[in-house]
Amino acid sequence: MSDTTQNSGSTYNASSIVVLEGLQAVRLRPAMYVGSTGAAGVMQLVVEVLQNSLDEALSGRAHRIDVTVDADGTWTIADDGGGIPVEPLADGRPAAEVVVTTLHAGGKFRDGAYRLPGGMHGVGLTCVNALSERFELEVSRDGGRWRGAWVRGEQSEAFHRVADASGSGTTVRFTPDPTIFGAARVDVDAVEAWLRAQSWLTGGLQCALSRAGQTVRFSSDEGIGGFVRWMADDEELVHAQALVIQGEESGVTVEAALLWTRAFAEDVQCYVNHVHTALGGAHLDGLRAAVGHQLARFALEQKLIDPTEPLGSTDAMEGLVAVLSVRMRDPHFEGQTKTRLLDDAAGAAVEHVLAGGLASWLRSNPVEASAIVGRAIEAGRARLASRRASERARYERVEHLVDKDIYRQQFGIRSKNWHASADWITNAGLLGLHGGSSVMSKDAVILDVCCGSGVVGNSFRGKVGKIIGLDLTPEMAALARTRLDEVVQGDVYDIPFPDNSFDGVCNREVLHLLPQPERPLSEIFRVIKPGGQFVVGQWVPFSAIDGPWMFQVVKKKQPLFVNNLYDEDMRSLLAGAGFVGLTTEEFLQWEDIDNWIATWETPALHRHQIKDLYHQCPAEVRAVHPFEISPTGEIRDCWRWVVYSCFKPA
Amino acid sequence: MSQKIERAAGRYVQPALQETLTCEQLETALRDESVAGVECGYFARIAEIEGEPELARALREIGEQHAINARGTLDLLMRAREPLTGKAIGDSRLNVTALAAFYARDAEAEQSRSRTAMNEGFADISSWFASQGRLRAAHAARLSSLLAGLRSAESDGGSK
Repeated sequence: MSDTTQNSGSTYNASSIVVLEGLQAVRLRPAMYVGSTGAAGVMQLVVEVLQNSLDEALSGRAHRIDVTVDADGTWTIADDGGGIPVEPLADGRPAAEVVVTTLHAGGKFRDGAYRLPGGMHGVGLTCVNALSERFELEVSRDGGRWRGAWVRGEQSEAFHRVADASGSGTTVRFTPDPTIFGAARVDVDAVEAWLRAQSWLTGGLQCALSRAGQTVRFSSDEGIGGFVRWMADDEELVHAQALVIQGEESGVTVEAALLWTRAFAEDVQCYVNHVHTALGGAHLDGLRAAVGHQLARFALEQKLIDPTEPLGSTDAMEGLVAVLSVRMRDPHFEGQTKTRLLDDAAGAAVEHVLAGGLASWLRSNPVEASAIVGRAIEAGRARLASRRASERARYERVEHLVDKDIYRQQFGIRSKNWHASADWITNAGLLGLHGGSSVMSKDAVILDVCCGSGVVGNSFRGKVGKIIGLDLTPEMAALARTRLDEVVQGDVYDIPFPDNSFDGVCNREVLHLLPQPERPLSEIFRVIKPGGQFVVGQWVPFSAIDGPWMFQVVKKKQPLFVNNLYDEDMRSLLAGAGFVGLTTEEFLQWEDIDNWIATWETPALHRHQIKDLYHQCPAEVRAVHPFEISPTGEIRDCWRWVVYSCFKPA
Repeated sequence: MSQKIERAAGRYVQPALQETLTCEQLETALRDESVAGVECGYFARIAEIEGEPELARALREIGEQHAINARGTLDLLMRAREPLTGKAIGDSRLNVTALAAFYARDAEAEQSRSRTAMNEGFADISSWFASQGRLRAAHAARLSSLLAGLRSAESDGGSK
């Protein structure tokens, strides 16, 4: 800036420069230090303290980490490590006090004390102190016990020796400051997952988590092979034993456990110096490269595929459950919260170590290798078939026809785990709004159009006399027969019932998959008796702002998606079909996106791209469309459902 | 297209850029640079997912060049006009006026594209265009409202 004079006559000079002391700066811009002032930020505080205890364990000094969370959100984290040094520094203050009150003070800046630390490098405990309503530090070492306390970063109890003590360790007790984090609370299950993961990753470490009077303990000497077996517990395995590869390259220690399953999604947990990197990064890139290249190479060598048949990394990674742990000096991360590793050298080391280990293992275990590579070939062929189906569907639509085989195929496959495939399907609140909209008589006969498993029709149970289902897919019709009074296999574009057959029709989340939705709506209108009711549920964008973003998310998940229906579109369609007396009810439902996209019709590439859409979501969209990404990378999206109730004129 | 370079007082004086072939070429270059930049970033991510980190890095680095160079091209075009609307650009007021005009016009154009796609049997593409049209209209409204705020601040005697 060349001028020192700003508008409004204010003067900009040296006196305008405000130098914030460490803790003030943290309190003024908390999100800069811990990522957010919501639940993720509170979680970061917990992780920072945990990470310090873990660093003690990794240096061989600690063998236990005990965590307690109280009902008021206070956390106590204790380890039996060496204890933070307490001897006075040059300014006379005890070292431990300096560590928790001064940014960039700690034992991780020099070699020796901590070989491979994972915390925030001297920012961690200070941030936790600054952002806590109350912060207590207790250290046992050198035959004594010391204690100090702070309130919002200001010392309330001097750090002093309180008693003699045997043993050593550090205990941190803190209550996140509600004036900064509001009512945000940590997802305690995520902390449990962290402790469980660290007990797998760190041989000899015992962890315990106490909440609401109950304590869960974790310890495992099975290493990361046991970790992946635990992760894949619910899945059908392609091979029984996890493949564990260890090695060192260019100063990077690599340890990986790989286990292929029949699931569609890949599940890879990546760690750098025991820090979970939710967005992966260079080390994950190295794993992908090694797995993709080695499986393709084996397939070609064994003549399992033709040289012209592509077998990509996305195919090779499909169904892979893996843990990748990298230890290295001075890792570089994207952002202070360390969600993505940036060091290309680490990626190269991982690729080198895993490529060698994988090639050797594939050669030595031909039966398992053929099963794994066969799984990848299958995934590649399914991907191509899915793309062809999508192209075929598009071609057919030129003639305004719907290729029913594609719908039958997809929903036939999905019927195998239909209720587990998405939360919205069986959400009681959402279903209740459908059945609850009924104003029909107790003896009314209704039709559940595109009934799926029949849960929507069943939500009218007790409110009407008879519920008949209609679905194109034999497998879905079979599921619906367990709930509805009668189920007919048929097509919504040509409903196999005469005019004026039903007192009411219900339907949910189908119109967005149907080209020319006016046609099925006109069929529905036709089979409803005059005065009869139509109840239809549909998720819609929150506004014009999130519509195109949602289009991309849904289209990548579901290739049959053709209509991005907004609330006004639904109103216009229903009015255009001749319905009157429209009323609506809205329902916000949180969907587990990782589960929702783990389906046959969503190729692996699209699953990654969907996650990218959430991680890179424009601020304008975030402002209108709520969703959450947990510190461990799980995504939950808030869907806006509208249940429309309307009538055929009497 | 005549192009004169006048020599006056020993200096070269460039002609106006408007309505020249060079201006059209700059517009084409900006479009190509922008498209290639988007493609590089998008394809880099695909390469990353496919387990080709070197390819991904190369594409990302090339993409960064495109982004910077697109701005360089736009810098030169600012002498003449905003390429989407033909309006003058330069300071924020002019820039936002041009963009608001583009969004308002494009909101209509997207609806027209939506109808064409539907008539040709592409229901999903039609829906995409329609969604884009709604977003454009929202953006036009947002920017117009900000512009109106600026104007009223001016008429109230405020200064920028």
